[in-house]
Amino acid sequence: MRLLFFPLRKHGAFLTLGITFVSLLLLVFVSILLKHAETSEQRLAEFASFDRIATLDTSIQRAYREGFLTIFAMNISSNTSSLYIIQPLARTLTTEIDQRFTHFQTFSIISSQYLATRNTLFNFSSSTLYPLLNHTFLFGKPFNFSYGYLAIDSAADVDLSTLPAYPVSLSQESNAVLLVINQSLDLRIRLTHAFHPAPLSPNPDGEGLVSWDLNQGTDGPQITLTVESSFPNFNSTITDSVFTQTITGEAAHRIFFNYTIAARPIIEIGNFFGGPFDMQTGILIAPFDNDVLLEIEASSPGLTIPPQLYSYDNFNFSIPDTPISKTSNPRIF
Amino acid sequence: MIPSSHRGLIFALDAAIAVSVIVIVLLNTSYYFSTSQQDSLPHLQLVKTAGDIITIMDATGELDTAFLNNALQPAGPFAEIPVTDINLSLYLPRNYRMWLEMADMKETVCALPPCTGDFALTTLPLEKPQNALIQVNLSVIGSSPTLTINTTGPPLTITPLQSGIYTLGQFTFPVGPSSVNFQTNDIDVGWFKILGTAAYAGSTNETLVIPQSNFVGTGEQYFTVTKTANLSSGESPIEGIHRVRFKIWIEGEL
Repeated sequence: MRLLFFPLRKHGAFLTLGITFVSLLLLVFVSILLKHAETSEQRLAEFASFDRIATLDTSIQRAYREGFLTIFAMNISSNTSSLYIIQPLARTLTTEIDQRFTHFQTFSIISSQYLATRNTLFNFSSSTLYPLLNHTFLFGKPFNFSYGYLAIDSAADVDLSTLPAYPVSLSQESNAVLLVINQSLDLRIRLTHAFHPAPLSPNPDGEGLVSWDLNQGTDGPQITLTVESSFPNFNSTITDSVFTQTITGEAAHRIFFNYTIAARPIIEIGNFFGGPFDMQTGILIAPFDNDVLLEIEASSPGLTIPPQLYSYDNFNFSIPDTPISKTSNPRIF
Repeated sequence: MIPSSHRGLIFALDAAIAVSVIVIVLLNTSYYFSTSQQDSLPHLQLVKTAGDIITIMDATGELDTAFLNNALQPAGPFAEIPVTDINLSLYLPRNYRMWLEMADMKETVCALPPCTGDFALTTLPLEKPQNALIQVNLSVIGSSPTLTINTTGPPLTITPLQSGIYTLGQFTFPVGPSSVNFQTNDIDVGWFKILGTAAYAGSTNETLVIPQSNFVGTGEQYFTVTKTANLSSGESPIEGIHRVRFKIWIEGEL
């Protein structure tokens, strides 16, 4: 003001200029702060959205795991270097295995709303049942970002005030239950507790046979290995390790692991060693009437994170009208 | 030329104006800063608290118990979860209030038993159009049982071998009540429900007034209902997976 109406006085001019400069500085500071606040708000909204999806994802994984382990009576444990899967084997095709997968078909993953995709997973034909029947597994360790990934476009404008009303959509895409390996593992597979005091037909006293097929998935180097192991008599407790195989893993490839147990002489079960298993024959595959436990140990001395078991199912979560989505593979344990 | 006695006045006026500008700027700064921080984080914490409570109740089996106890009750359109099954106040901090809704707890009962032959039943009113499954509780009463259901889309037929609960679908439903057509042979239909819809959900307190002025956090989770079952007789150990939704708020100011 002194500059406008009064002759210049150096001290006054400096004072005015100084105060003006300080004011401008504060204005700049305010604008930076405002921008920062807006950015923080956006980040907070994104965080809240992800948290909502992550909670939903976690609960579905928990529900999936509980159902899967209950139906298939699997016991899974791990330590820092090994993963252990112990499962009582179903003894016949026509009763227990059918029942288990019937239950699995009716086990509604997402209650009700996603039948189309659920049918893709659970409406088995004999051909799709084959790998499931044989428990096609993969072994894996956690991905870098937990077990899924989150996609956020930071340019999007998310309004936190409407967040609680966001509907979250969920889809499920799968046609198999697999596990994923992305590291080198030693697989040791054995049967235990196959004690049979009164052996059943068709081979009461004969030699048993276990066949293991190991196939690596299409997204890695191909391994196909068929191993037969025999054990002398069903009328004994089998504790031998029947199959050991080192798998050299690379990122995100899958190991298909099929097994079939039969009595010798091998009864008519389709092209057992050369082609698909004939599901319709309903032939006794494990002639035991006591518990037979399949034990799978996947270990790697170099591991620092315990290996984990994932379903190959994909769950996709997204919040409509936002770029926030998440895809995950349910962890079995 | 300004008299030297006025220089102080001019200086004071100049300084006052400049200080006013600074004060205005500071007020604006403080306003925007406080606006940006308003309530967002406590809101998140509120929702996370409710999510943790749901997780705990899933782990302790309270959700399973509440659902299975409801299944033991007579079928019908009313399903309020009793406090003896789910007591939210056990987990909630003081002044927190929570409301919980569990899907698939209500049924549309066939009011004219025996429900055989061809007939139609009206659904509970849906809040929005939805593609959903129908669950039917039926009894096989003859040697050639078949059941055909249709709504607005193509019919779906099953041949149930034994009495029990069957899930069919999916079907398309409009807003509000709609008609479901049943064509049966050697089957008596007890009740049906549309899975996964708010209309067929039960809640902890169906008459609770939820405040409009305060922030109300919402969320949902899924849980598996397991039950004891004899596998060898074909009974499934899994009742199903169901959705549980919640609303949580604080009475008074946050």
